[in-house]
Amino acid sequence: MARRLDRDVLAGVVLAGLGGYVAWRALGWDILTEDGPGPGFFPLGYGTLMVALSALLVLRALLQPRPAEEEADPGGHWRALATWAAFAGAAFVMQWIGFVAGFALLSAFVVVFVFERGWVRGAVVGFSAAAVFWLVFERLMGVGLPAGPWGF
Amino acid sequence: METFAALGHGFAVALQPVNLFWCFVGCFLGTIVGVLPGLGPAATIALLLPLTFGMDPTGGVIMLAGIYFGAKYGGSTTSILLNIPGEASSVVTCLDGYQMARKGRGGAALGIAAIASFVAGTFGIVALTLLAPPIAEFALSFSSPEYFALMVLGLSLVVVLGGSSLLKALLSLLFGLWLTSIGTDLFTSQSRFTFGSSFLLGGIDFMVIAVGVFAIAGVMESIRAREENTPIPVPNRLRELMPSWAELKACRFAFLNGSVTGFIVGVLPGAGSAIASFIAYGVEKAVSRHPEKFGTGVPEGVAAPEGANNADSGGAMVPLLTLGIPGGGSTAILLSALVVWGVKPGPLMMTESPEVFWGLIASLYIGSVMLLVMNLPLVPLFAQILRIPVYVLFPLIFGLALVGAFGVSDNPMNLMLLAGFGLLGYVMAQFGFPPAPLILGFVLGDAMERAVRQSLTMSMGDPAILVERPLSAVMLGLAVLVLISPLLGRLLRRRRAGATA
Repeated sequence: MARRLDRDVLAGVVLAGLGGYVAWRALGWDILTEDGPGPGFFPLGYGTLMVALSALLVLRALLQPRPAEEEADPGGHWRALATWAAFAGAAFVMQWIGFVAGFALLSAFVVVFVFERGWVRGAVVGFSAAAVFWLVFERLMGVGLPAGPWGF
Repeated sequence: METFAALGHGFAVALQPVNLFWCFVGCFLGTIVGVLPGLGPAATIALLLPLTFGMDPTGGVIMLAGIYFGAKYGGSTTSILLNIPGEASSVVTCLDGYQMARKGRGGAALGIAAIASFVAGTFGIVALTLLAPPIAEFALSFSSPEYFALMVLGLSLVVVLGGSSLLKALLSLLFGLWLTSIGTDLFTSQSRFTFGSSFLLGGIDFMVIAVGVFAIAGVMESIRAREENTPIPVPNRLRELMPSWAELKACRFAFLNGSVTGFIVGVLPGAGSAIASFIAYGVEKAVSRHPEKFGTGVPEGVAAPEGANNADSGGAMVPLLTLGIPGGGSTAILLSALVVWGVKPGPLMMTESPEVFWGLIASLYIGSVMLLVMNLPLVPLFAQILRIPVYVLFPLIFGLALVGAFGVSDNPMNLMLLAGFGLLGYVMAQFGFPPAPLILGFVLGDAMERAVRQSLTMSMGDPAILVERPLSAVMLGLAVLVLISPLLGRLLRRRRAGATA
């Protein structure tokens, strides 16, 4: 029960904060001018609505808590988040080391650490996947990809 | 008569060898990616969109339509062979499809799914052909207030029909509206929510959001759930894939039921193919002479939902092409893709870009035939895709997503945004927030803001303009009714329960 309640309350608080920020920023721009509604008009409307609905979500969670579903595999979230961290890390370093090296490292990480298939398989998948993408997109289709210091 | 002449012209465009080739490539790739579990049509279109960059608009649009229809076809394969629905609309297909496969009739189940998809898909396209011109003509009389009201009505239906929680669907939609405000104001060039970044002045590319919340989040969810593929073997001889005469006879009503139900539900924004397939299955079971056998592997239990989720595609094209209003995540991505091509769906599309409009409709007919011809003999080949280990498959999906995100603007910042939206999609899924309203809010946000601001400019700031015009008033009234309908339903149920007690 606690988990469900925490999630809806947390989501409601975060979204109410975002709605409040949107409405506050919108108030700094023109709302209604002689020429019609200004740039703050629309964001003020949905920002205010966001605050109201988020408050309802929090209230509903506090007044009508629903039983939480049992988490079958609690480690699953960490696995997914570790994969995301590798993805975000690869996306970040690609501007310096290029798409091919970044993608090869990301693929190898997924194989070795997420699916625990060993270094050799990780290296083979990482190298092959990066080579195929480079060949298909960069060479055959002419799609520009981030390049590293070695030119690809 | 005019419609048929225009359609004939469309066929002349679609039957050009180069367009036929793109239609085939779209159907083929759509089916292949659609077969992969966890990747529904929306993620498939978003992932494959970069492949159409650099093509001419007609060819690109035709290929995209092929991808959309192909992705719908592919969804049934995982349901039947793995008992894992490739997308929400294939959930019902698991019930009887997987049971047929376990009884050794997996080939026939795949064949029935392909035939039902063809019959119902074609019905949906015929209905689209006949309905699109009068609706577009009617919509030509719309002005800004009517457009605003129509969008409000469409989005209300989306949030009420599309998610389990109305509040969360609405919040997801508002979040999408905020994302679309990031950048430069349409009228005054005022920068909004850019956090001082010059990169954000141009706004966020829809593709980065779509691929992030659908594809990246989908892979993360599969990794969390530790999904592994062990498909039931498929016979590779065409004869074994063909359903028997008795099975086809049993599906007669299911083909019709799937066609009509799917099309009607498809036209409604937000209802989507998942609801269409559930309703068609329910109707089929209700009228069946042996309802107790449903769930044990009856062919009509495969034909009805598979037909419905393909007829739905034709239905969903009606509001998209005639009003420029998408009814779900996939059509929202299609709309944005069409805009990338310089084609603006809406009542003027038929007159401004007739070769694209009718070429697209004609290519849907051709794609439908192509998919049937391709799916029957190639099902064993498509099934082999499921044998690719997930530790190879997931990096490939990541690679496609990265190439697509970088390809739209050649800016590495997009890669970071992609990662951010992937995490957002995953968190939304864990917290029970549906992603489709977010995409729709993002895609329609600009048009909605433009419509309301133009309306208020026309009336010198008087909001009464939105309810003074009859059409606009009716649509806004309907939207309010739609939004309060869950509340009214709950009150009625409580009253009834109180009366019985």
